Amino acid sequence: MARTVPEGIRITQVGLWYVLLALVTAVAATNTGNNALYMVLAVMLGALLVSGVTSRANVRGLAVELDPPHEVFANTPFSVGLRLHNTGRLAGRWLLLVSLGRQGQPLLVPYLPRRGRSRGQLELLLGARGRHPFPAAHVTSLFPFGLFQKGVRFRNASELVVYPELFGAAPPRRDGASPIGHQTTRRAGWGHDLHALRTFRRGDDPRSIHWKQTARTGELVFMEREAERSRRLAVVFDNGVGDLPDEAARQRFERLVSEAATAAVDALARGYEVQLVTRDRTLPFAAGARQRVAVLEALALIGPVARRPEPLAGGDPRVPELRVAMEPRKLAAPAATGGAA
Amino acid sequence: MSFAREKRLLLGALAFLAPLPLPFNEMVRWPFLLAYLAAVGWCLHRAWREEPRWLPTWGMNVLGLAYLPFFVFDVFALGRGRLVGPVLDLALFALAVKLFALRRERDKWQAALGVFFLFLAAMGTSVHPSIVLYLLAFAGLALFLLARFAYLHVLAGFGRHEPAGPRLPLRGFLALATVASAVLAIPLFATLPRLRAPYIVGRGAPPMGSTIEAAGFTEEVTLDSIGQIRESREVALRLQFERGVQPVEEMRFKAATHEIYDGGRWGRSPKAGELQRRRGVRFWLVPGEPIAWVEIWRQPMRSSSLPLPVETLVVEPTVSSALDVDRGGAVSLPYVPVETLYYKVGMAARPVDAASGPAPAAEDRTLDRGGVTPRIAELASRVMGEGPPAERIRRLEAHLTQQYAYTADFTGRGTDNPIEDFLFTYRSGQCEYFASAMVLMLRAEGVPARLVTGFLGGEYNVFEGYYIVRDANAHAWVEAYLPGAGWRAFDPTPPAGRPVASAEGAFAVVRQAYDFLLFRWDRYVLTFGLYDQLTIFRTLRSLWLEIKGLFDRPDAAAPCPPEAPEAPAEVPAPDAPGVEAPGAGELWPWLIAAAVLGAALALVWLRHRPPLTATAAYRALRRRLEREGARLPPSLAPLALRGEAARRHPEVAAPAARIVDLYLRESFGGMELSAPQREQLHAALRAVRRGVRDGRRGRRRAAPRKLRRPAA
Repeated sequence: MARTVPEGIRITQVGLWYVLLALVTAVAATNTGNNALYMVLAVMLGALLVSGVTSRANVRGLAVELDPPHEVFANTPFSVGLRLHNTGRLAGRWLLLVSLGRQGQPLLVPYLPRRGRSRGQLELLLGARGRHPFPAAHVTSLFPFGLFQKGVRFRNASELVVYPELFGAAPPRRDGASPIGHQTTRRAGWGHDLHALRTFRRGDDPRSIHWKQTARTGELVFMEREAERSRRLAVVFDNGVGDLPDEAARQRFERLVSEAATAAVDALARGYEVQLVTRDRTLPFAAGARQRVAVLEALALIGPVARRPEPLAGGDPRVPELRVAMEPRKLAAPAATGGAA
Repeated sequence: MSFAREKRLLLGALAFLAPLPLPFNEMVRWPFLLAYLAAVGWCLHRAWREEPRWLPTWGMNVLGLAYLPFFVFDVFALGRGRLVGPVLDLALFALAVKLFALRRERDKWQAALGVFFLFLAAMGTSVHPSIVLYLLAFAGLALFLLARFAYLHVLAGFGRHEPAGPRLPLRGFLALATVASAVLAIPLFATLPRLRAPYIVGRGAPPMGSTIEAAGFTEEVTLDSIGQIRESREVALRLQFERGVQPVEEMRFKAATHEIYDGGRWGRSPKAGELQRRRGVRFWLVPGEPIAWVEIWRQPMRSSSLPLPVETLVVEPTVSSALDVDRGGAVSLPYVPVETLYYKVGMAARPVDAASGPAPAAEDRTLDRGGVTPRIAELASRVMGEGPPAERIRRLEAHLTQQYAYTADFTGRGTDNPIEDFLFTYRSGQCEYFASAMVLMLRAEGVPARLVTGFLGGEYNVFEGYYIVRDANAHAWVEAYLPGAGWRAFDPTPPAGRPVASAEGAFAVVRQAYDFLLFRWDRYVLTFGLYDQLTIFRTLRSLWLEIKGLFDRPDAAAPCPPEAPEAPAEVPAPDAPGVEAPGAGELWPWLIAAAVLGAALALVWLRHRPPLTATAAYRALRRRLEREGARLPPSLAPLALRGEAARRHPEVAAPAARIVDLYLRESFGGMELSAPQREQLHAALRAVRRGVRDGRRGRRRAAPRKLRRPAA
């Protein structure tokens, strides 16, 4: 984190009382001309100055390094690693409270010796998917006397892509009777499961000879395997919904994005190749971690585009599809359930 | 240690400390304070043991109601109608009770508020220098309390209410913070606006304590008043003679004159008028040119008298716009000052007669025969005899000095006619007895005379070269009128009874050191006021103008003004008489200004210097190698430079490689250095410098051995 911005000063309730008592002493000293009271006032003001200078110095000379997680989902708490370094050569730092974006429970660093380091974790929650500036780290301190709270903000120019919220439930609707997953077709093919045993014919692949049966029967026995269906899923998300008129519609749109993301992530986790089709972008079929990131990023940044009359075409018609769309007739019904396939 | 326990202990310690000066200031009686301290001690004991049960709110109310009758008794019986003492007693009681009822967080802050007001009361009624120590102790403890409360508050915010973990290393910081607060308080104290004259509880005037009359300078003087005051070692006057001036051997300060004697009591001479002011703020007693000046600091003495050396010609007070003079020539202020008064006095070489004038008429008060009994008159006639007036008076003075003894013991003496008793029965007394007897005897013989009170002698303080006149130097003597010569002073007290002119003994040095401290304390703390602030500001302003004037000097090449003489002015050579080369005295403002400017620039540079980049470090490495003799063409690649560094200085191969590596990353990889990498860069540069330097030293050490040749 490069840029450090002072956050000014905030007087605490104790500080207010302190200032009030100093004022009372000032009035008493001025009214009586009693130099002993002037001495008290001078020491109080001196301590106030010391407090101000010390508290300012206490939050200076710090370096904050953040270690954000690889994936951040909306409405899901995540931990950010924090490394705090006191670059000051002269004095330690006391009573530091570190927070991210002024959210969540701050991290308390009671004492950081000079040139010392401290590590910790900060929990954060971001409510909306999309591209967010990385929250600034705030370091505040009540040190030394709790009269003032001084702070410094460590700005970070980088951005954070927050993925859509994932639902814990099973993926919602799929395309009709099209099964998803490892499905056999009851036909001979080049799959893995055994389909049938038969006599070896000319032209058969000798690698598929069932040697045990061959030894048992005395003639070559060929092992037929079942053909397997393709393990693919196309997630077709129709974001051509035009402007979303109200909050309910926006919430519904967000929910559909989350459903699509949940289904895609679930399918990818089960080894499927997943294709994402939207009005403005199509991600080709792929599996694995990279596709997961690509799908999540695409859905994190997706937004409504202009409504079009033609239906959103999927890809290969042989591949099962998960269609996610907002039905125009349901736009006005905020309590409607999920999307429609 | 639980939070509640720690807070109770800290508050208890502060409450224990807060009222300690009060009984010394006679604001609170010792028994009451001891009871309070016992209660606080018990509270601390309970807090230490973490007793679970504390006083409920209704218990506080009951105790408050129970205290009411005592408060009434305190006001009307013990306090004799004064409210300050009883209110402080009540505050002590309330705080002690509150300490037993610290349940909520709010209660603790309320108790802290009570402690603060007790502290204010203790400070506001104190005048002794030791309150600085008290103030520092209280400030240190209060800052510690605030720091711990802040820490515990933060921990409580994290849901912790039990052991606070390892203690923070705060002691050093807090000690430093306390000292820094005290140091900062010095300029703040000097600059805080003073809207009225400094208030101090002057000597002899504590609100509740016994009073020590500054006898001798009140309107009426009894015959034993100076004897009482001479028991005191308090300082009455401090004198600082201008450089090079030696005071007369026996300094005598006239404070008041007394003309009417009535049954053992003297009445002060009536006011003759106001002194005329001339030459600005100077009041002249007698026309003449002073030959020496002395600065005087007069301590509060519950009198309007302005003690002046008998050689005084002119007085220059700083605060008063008018001075009165009585018929005996004693000067007084139109009010009774309660603060230390500063004035300057111009003196002649000899005592002057400030009351000179025509000879007193027969009905003059200085010839009043009140108190002159036939026995006194007969003795006066017998002692003084016949002859010139001066000789007769000297005869009487010598008689009293030689035939009578000085004593401070008046046990069993009657009060009907103390002067007759002194002259004929006891033949011993104090200086007032001697002076009074002489005045009455002179008047019996028709010589105008009066009693003079003031001070005699003083001791020299070696710590700052000023003289101290104490209460113990209070004295009474006689002024008699000599036809043709005016009023002259005579002192009939035997030398053994006169005030000691100088301090003696080993303890005197300690006393003088203490007095020096008190002097500074009185002068610069207790009586610091608007006038002193103006003096400081004037000094600073003149210093500023002096520095500014150095920069505003007209340029030598500037055209001459029109009124300049047509003839070419002779420019004296620098070594000509009247032209001084700039010496150290003229240079020091420049040096100070340069130092301040340099420090400011250094500060600005330190704060805003750009962070070290790998490119800068690489260039520094290159320069270092070139300085050591390496020939590095501009086109030398970084890796070749690294190899050259390793070849020439194997000891810096690793740090040089680190610098080159970071340089490549920064310059060609577009990578911004992180903070740890920047530190590595600093460390590598330091290592290179150190390695190259050590290598050079090693080579130098080795070189002479090779070149050394055996002696022929």
